[in-house]
Amino acid sequence: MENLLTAFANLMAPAPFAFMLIGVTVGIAVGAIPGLSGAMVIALTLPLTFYMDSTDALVLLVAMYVGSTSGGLISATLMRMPGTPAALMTVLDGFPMAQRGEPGRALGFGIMASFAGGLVSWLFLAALSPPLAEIAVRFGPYEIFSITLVAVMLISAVSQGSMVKGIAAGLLGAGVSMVGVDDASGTVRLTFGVADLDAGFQLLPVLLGVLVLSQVLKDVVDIDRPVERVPAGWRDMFMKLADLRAQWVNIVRSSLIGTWIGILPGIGGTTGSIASYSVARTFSPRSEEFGTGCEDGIVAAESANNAAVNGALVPLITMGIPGSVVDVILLGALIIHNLTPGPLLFTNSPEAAYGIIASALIANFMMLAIMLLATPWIARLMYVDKAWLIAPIIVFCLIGAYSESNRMFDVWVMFAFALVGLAMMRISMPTGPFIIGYILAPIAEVQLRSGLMIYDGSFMPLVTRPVSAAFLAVAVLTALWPIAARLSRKRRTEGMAGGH
Amino acid sequence: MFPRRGGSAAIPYAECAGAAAVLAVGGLLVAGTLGLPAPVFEPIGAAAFPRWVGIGLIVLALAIAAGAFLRSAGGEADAAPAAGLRRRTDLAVLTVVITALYGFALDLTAIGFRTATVAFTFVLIVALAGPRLKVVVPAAFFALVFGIALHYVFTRFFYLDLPG
Repeated sequence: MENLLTAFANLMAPAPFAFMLIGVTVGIAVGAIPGLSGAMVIALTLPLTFYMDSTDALVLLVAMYVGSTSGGLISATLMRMPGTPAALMTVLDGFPMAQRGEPGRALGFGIMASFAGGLVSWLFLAALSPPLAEIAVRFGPYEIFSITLVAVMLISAVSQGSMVKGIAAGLLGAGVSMVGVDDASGTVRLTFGVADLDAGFQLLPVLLGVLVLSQVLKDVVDIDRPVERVPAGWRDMFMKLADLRAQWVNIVRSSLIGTWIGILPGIGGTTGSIASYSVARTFSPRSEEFGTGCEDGIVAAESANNAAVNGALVPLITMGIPGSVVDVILLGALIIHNLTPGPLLFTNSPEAAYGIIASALIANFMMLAIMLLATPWIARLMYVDKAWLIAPIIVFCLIGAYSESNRMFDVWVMFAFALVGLAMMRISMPTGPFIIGYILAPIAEVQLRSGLMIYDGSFMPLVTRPVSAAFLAVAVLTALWPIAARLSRKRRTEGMAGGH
Repeated sequence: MFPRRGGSAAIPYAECAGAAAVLAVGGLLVAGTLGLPAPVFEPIGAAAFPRWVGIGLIVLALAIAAGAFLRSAGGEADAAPAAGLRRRTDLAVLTVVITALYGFALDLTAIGFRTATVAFTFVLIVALAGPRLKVVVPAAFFALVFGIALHYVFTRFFYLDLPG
């Protein structure tokens, strides 16, 4: 406690305070722009911190992390384009709510949920870091494989349209992710002799193509659709007490889910927001409204993805294990500044460890203030004629796709996946599971193969290890739930018809 | 989004095409794994997971096609488009063409990012907003500022390499 209070006092000095403010502001701005991601800006900022004080550098990067995760909410809500992958689920309800004339309310729910999620998860980060990290590290490969299976089943279940198409979309994404060099064996597979495919289909071109450009083309088709002007005033931005009373269970539950999944190594905020969204839909009395602009969906997604930020910091600073892609970059920052990540960090460099913890909380408050102050102006972007936005968005996407590997090939890949996304929309195949399958399949494959190597080729531990079995049971139940629900509805309908 | 000609017993062309595409991808995945080497130090190797995914896609493709035919045989009507809303598929095609030309300009010519971006932004705004004087002049100004500022920010501030 004393170390933590000292860290708070140190961060109130002008330099670190200014760095946090800059970090949160830049993070929000970058997170809100489709084509730029938090991971990109943090990676680009890393060389700039070489000559900075180590604590200043770390708090700047953590503040960017917090800001960029929250900033993704803005474009997800206003433009149906997640500024960051973690805002993927926010699109499902944030954008429809904005479309029906409530952008301020959607953003307000998202901002307050983000803040609440960050607050709840920070309590775990500060108070329970060591024991939580120890539990998560004990998870074996089969447990992580089972979790990824649950995530794919959940997203397939929650996406609009048939579950068969949802699972097919997930498998399509999984298939796309397997092109290129197999990480485990170094074998080049599924490239069919195309040398440019040795590196596989990179994340940004696929994401920008399927999710952003396909929507841009759809927007062009519907360009004549009138947009109703709704003012996004201050009143809309704050959750009323009644809203808070209605959402507090959702907020706490989603924050806990996001925190927990953020702690799990390598999985990150996207899976957290997916899982919490799915759970919220299951338990919500308004589950049919999910995907049409339901507040519960926005709150669940944003609480979880911000909670996952602090959750992912737990294994990083206590065990030296990155909790997400961004944490890999933060791990590099620790090493560059001669700080040894892991349990020794608290012993040898307590100012760095507690500085990270303290900055996560301060950045959360800064995020709340900046988002509430700036969002009403940003919300006005919705009413700019789309004809003026399409070209800049395409250019940003092109830059984003090109920047990953400095290849025009990735830009053409993005264009191709834009057509794929459009085709998927044409046949009512959801694109969410596609992206999730693309992201999770490599993790699932690596973990499954690791597990098989550990257990001499046996799949049995998948069902005999209790945690793995529990997650598998959830996956199976999720697959069967829509069928059971449909049968139940049919029986009820027949029963009512028989009564008449 | 795209209105379909519905009605009972109508062949669901779009769904069939989608199912065929999924089937093709599944087949490609399975075919692509046939030449992979057998696993050496592990039980399943690099071929297993893509093969399972491919088989799963083939099964689901058949399910999608079957579902589409069953629904059309049952006479399920497609959603009607919003009354009075004109679909601008022509503009979408134009956008694709202009964007492709932008990509070609960056990839195959020495025109440079700034020039290509200014030209692309101007042409696309005018194409989408309409070739009227009150669009053309502001679009030209916006495209110029946007292209030059973007190049400066990304190369001098973010130190990103830009195409072209």
